[in-house]
Amino acid sequence: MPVYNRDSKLSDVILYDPSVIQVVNRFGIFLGVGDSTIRSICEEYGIDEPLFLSIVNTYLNRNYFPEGIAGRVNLRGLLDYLEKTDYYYSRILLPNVERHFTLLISKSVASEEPSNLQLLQRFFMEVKSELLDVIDNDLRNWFPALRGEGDKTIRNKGSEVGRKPYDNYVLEEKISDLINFFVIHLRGKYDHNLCVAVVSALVTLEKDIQQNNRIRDRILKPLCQE
Amino acid sequence: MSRIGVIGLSSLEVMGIKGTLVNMPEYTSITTEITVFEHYQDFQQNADKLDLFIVGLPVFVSNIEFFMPRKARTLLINPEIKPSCSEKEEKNNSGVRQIFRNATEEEISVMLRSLFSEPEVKGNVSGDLSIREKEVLTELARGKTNKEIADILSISVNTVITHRKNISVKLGIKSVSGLSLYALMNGLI
Repeated sequence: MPVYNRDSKLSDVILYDPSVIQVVNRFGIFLGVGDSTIRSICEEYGIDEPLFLSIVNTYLNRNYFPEGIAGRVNLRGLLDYLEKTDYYYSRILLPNVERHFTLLISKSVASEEPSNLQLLQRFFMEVKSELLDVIDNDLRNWFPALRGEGDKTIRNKGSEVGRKPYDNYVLEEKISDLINFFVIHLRGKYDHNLCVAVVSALVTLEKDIQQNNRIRDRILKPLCQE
Repeated sequence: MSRIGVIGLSSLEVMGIKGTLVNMPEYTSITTEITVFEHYQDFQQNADKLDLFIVGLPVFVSNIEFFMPRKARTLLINPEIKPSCSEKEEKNNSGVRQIFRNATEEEISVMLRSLFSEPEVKGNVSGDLSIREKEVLTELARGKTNKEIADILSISVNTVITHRKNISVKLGIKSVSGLSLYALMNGLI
């Protein structure tokens, strides 16, 4: 798996794994990047280059551990990125899964055979509520504190303010369980196309959360523990 | 657990079916609920909660529009004597599995196994889990801790943890919420 540097073309990065489009979007970069290198794009958009490279490489490569984060990476830039990721979940991905789920249930209820879709939807609502709590905790407590705007003692409070912002693995596990329910344990009659739409939306959410958790664990965590 | 609904059979026929299931050890632990319905109306109202239907011929014929879309889950009890050239008679003309009045216990269990192996039914049988694993899963779904489960089942906490790992591997489900949901879907709680 390649590790990209400042002289890599951004288009090569995107073409290697198009899901990285969401990552570059969160930096304000959109499609139509031409043949610009990461260095020139970062200069043009005023993006912290070490932060951009750390995020992109960590997102794409599970074996990549950015070195020397402290003092090299801009914490505010990272928090801006994570905040946009949170909004992407709450405003785009979660409503997308929910919309497909609702449609799937409405198309399946009329069928003769009973199915367990309603129970799966209830499980999804639990996952959604948990993810929204994490986001709320990020936006109201952790991020302002890390920016030096809110309660500066929050880093030492631990569980008093809820889960730490780099400790969301239970959530990852639940989304994976939900996908496995569809793949392995689904029964009854249902609309196949809508079912695939729900699973695809869940897989997109799972992948982004997994990679985002990696970013939080390998970049945010060392900065929080400084 | 698999729920079997019986309709339109005599007491002796019901006893025969129950007796055959008792002698099928691989299903004894799961087919714990057999409901015998006196009236078709009651049966139909509860049909959504049933996995298999065992039905007498007159009731089947009178309500063929109900049973045909569910024929993969239906076993028809034919009051006639089995014809001598029997191979082709395992299903009737409509493609529904049937057993005849003079069927041996072995023939009935072959038919029931075939019915249980239907994909629509199999998903609910959860036969991959051992009895002990199902007990652990049931207690876990009731909100019990590893220590509490160990006390209830008189086993060590390490054994409970091992069972939990095996359950997760077999089902592909790791979280407690997911395992509880699985238990609920499969009638364990």
